[in-house]
Amino acid sequence: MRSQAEARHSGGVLVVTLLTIVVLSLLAAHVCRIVTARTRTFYQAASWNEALSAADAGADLAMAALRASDWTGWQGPDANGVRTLQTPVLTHGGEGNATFSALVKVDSPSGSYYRIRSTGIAQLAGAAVASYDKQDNRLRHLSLRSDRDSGTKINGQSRVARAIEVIARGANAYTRALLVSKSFNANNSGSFADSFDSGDPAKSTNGMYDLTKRQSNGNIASIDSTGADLNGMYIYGNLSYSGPAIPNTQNVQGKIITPFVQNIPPVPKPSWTTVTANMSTISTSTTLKAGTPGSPTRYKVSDIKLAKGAALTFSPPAAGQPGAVEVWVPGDFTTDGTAQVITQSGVTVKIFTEGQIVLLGNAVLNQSNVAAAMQFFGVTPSDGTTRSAQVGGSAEFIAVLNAPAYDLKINGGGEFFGSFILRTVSMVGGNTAIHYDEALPRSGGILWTMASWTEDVR
Amino acid sequence: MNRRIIKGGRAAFTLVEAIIGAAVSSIVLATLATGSIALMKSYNASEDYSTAQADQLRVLDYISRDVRRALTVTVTATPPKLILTLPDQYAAANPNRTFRTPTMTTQGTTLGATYGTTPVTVSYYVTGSTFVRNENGALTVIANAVADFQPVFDATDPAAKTVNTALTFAPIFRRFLSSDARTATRLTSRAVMRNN
Repeated sequence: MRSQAEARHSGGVLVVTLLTIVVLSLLAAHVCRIVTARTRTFYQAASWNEALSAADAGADLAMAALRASDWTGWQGPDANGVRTLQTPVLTHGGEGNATFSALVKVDSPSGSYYRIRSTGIAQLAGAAVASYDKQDNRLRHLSLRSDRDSGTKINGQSRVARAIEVIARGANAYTRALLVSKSFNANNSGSFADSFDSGDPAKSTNGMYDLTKRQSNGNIASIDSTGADLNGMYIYGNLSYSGPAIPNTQNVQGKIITPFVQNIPPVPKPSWTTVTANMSTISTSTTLKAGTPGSPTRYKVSDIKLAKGAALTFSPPAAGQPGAVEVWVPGDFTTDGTAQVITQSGVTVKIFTEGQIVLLGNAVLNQSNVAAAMQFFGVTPSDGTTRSAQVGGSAEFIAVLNAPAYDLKINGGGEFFGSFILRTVSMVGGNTAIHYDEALPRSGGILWTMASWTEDVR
Repeated sequence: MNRRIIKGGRAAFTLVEAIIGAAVSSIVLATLATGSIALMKSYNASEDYSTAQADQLRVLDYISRDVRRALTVTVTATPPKLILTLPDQYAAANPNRTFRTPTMTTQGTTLGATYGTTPVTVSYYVTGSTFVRNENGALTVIANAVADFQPVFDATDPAAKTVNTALTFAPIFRRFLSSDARTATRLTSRAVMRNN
């Protein structure tokens, strides 16, 4: 039998043991609390950074839509001209959060650029508890129990959102019927500009312009309107300009937007190191064979001066196959009378001319019937001088003319399908119709690039 | 152990036994005390390391966030300071700041978007024991108790597009005073200036 003293000693051991366990448990709990808080802080930081990736991805989707001019899957535009895309919620494995998404809104406040606002949203892992550090909370703006922007309850879906704003500008200006850096002078109210979409049966017939399906995106813009006069020309679209007020704009069916700022990239001289063939002046009927679209043939021709009845034909690499060909003309490109430049069906042609360009009568026969298949470029002189170009003579011209250093004279009217970038344009005699092909941006003729990037850090 | 019974007295330890017992107890207690102190030091050092890492991460996140939207960047070596100009994107002061609508202006040979008229100047540096973000004179402490933080800012990218930031601290549980201990804490960040 144990004595009373022995019994007291046993009780003491028990108390000491229990106290030790309690102390150790408290220490362990404290360590766990610290470790959990730190882990949560790092997970929240990871989610915060992932939200930015999601926002960037949303902006990329908007840029892709702009470049393709394809808004499939987007909502709107609404009454304020805002298009909206809610991306699917994507999931991923690994530790920490598992889902993220983006809400993207695109509008064009001034008509000269697009504003992309993308909010990336990433789920927060773990309990809806603020970070251990106040400075973290100030930086990361977590939505733990209610959304920080809307104030609505989020029912256990704690998350972090980051919003960015990207301004997109058109590095290439095939977004309008006509863009000039200086003046634009129409001649009468019988001339007009409108639009169609060669790739949309609702806006064209067999890829061709159809008056009954006319669209109102035949926009015309001038960076410096000094000396410009619309002379009552009908514009089924917007007129944008900077500089003095343009007179006689009563028949503009869309908006008149001023000021207008746009960068027109110069057309650089080709810097080819190898060519398919170096050729002297072409003046008689000649056929140049195209390569494949991925490997176009390249011809350097000193001048092209097609005599009456002569034809310069661009043929596909094989019958029925698509092809591409590029021509560099350091001198002039002129046609005389009934001479023709023929682009056979399926062939895409790019002609870079450094001298003057004269295309009269039905000088251009584009058998693909889409402007993107026939692209004329007027090379911007390095010395800052200007060049001249002339088209007309009741021409039917399905092409793109990108010559920002050229003064174009449209003589005797004609019907033009495509898009035009020039220094000045003047119409003389006859009626002129410019039908902007809305499919051009989708053909890669335009490149939207980022003019600015910023984050909303409120 | 045999206990001698003194007549009329009570059982007890001998002096030798008591001395041995006290010595053993002292050793055990000393070991426990030393272990506890070492444990506490290690715990404190671990917590300090963890806190410093969290501070590093936050400071670099702050800097990267601003570098991405910066218009210009300047670095001073002594004291190490990163100076940024940011778009003047808010129309009013806190707390009801609204986002401005930019205007397009020709910037060199390209077209750029401009917010407001006066870019905001923001700088990052260590002052005293804090790491601060200075926005047009308004200081925000972004990390406390970081007197040992040593930032290195590098904006020498020839393309003027990236800013590298390296941040180290002095861990307190290092055994020897070695530069390796600081070097091992180096955390770096490279942010791209998206407006350049």
